[in-house]
Amino acid sequence: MKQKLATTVAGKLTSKVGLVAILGVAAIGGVTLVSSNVFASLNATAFNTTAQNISVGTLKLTQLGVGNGFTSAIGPIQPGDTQNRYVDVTNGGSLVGSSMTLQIADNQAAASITAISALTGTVTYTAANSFVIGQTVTITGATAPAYNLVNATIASASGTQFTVTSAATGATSTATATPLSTLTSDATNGLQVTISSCTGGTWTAGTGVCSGATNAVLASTAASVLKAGVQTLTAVNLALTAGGVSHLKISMNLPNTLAETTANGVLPATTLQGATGSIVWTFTEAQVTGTTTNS
Amino acid sequence: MNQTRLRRIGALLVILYVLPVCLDLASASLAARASNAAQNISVGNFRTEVTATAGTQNIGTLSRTTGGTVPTRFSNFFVQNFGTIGVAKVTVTLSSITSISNLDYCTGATGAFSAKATCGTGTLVAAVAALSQTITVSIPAGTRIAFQVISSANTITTVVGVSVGTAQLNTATTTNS
Repeated sequence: MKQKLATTVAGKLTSKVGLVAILGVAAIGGVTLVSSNVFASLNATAFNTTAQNISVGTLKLTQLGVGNGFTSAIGPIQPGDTQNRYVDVTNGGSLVGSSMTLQIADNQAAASITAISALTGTVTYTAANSFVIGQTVTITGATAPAYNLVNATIASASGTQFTVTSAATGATSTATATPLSTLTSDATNGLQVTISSCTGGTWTAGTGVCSGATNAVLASTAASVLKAGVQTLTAVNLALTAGGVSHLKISMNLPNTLAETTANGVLPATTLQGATGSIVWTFTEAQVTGTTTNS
Repeated sequence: MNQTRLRRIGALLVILYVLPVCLDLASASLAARASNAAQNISVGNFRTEVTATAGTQNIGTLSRTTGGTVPTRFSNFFVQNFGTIGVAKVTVTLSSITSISNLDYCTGATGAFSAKATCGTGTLVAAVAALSQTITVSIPAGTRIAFQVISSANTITTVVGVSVGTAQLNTATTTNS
């Protein structure tokens, strides 16, 4: 009896195990078949056997003075004077430029005065500065009111101090010396800039002679306008091609519209005399519009 | 949170993502600049002053007294150009010309009177005195001209002033360099 029962149980277990095994095999087989159906495929690729080169062009602009260029100081000038300076602006990149603009900046800065002293008609202001003799400055912020001078003329200057002729006296204090910058801020009486190019030739700086054709690039424009924003130069008269050189004459004129009278050595309350500028000329060239090419 | 609100938030997120990309695409271009080291430029000044002796600085007008007896009824002064621009003309004013006959000067930057109406250096240029007169005389920056007032009375006091306007400067120039 016990043996029969054991045989029966063993038989049932064997049947179930067999069933599970069959189902398992079937499942694995099914998954295998399905997986095989998903990943097993044919692929084909095509690529060029010689690598295709592609590069981005460059846009480079440099300026080089011809003669004095922008490197040497100008002045003192007087109303009616014109100073012509010459620069070559070169597109040294591989791309063609579409246009060129000009903007100027006036970099002169006020000087912070740390001490003031007076001796026999001369006032000495201690301050790191870059002033020059004859320059006009206005002093503000001194504790002693007499030291606050309007349109004072620099009588002497070093990198650490400057003097003006004045009978002012008082206690020392700090103050500020602001240089007169109407040269680049007065649209009427201030500096006027005109630019022309020498096409097919070059300028001779000493004589102002162009060996090619002279063409206008910028009509007379106030320096104040050039300082306020970029001005577009006449592209057709510039060499904007890759490697092109624009030979430019920069004419700086102080118009003779200024009418001032100096009596007994005292400058007028509103004056352009002694005004200074520290000018940075920035030429900018833009790329041409990108194109779509079929070839 | 309803569906409409979700849609709006989604649209906003899309705009926030796309807008910067669009702006970047619009401004992406090549530009090249060329600048110089700062160039200094200055306007000169014209400051002429009346001085008692050559080279000294005397702010304002100058009182001159001609005194003594003939032939010493004269007084000398200088017009010094302390400015940085040369002048071609100066306007000399005298507060009074009563009994003042002449306003003379000696030519040249080193001109000087040695006696009444006599230049020790330079050439005498004699002129009748006036309350205000513009004299054509070149005074380069940093130089001076010697003047002399001559009176007919034993003593006369006059205040001398000098002025220069932009029209009295040297001729403007064009420089290529």
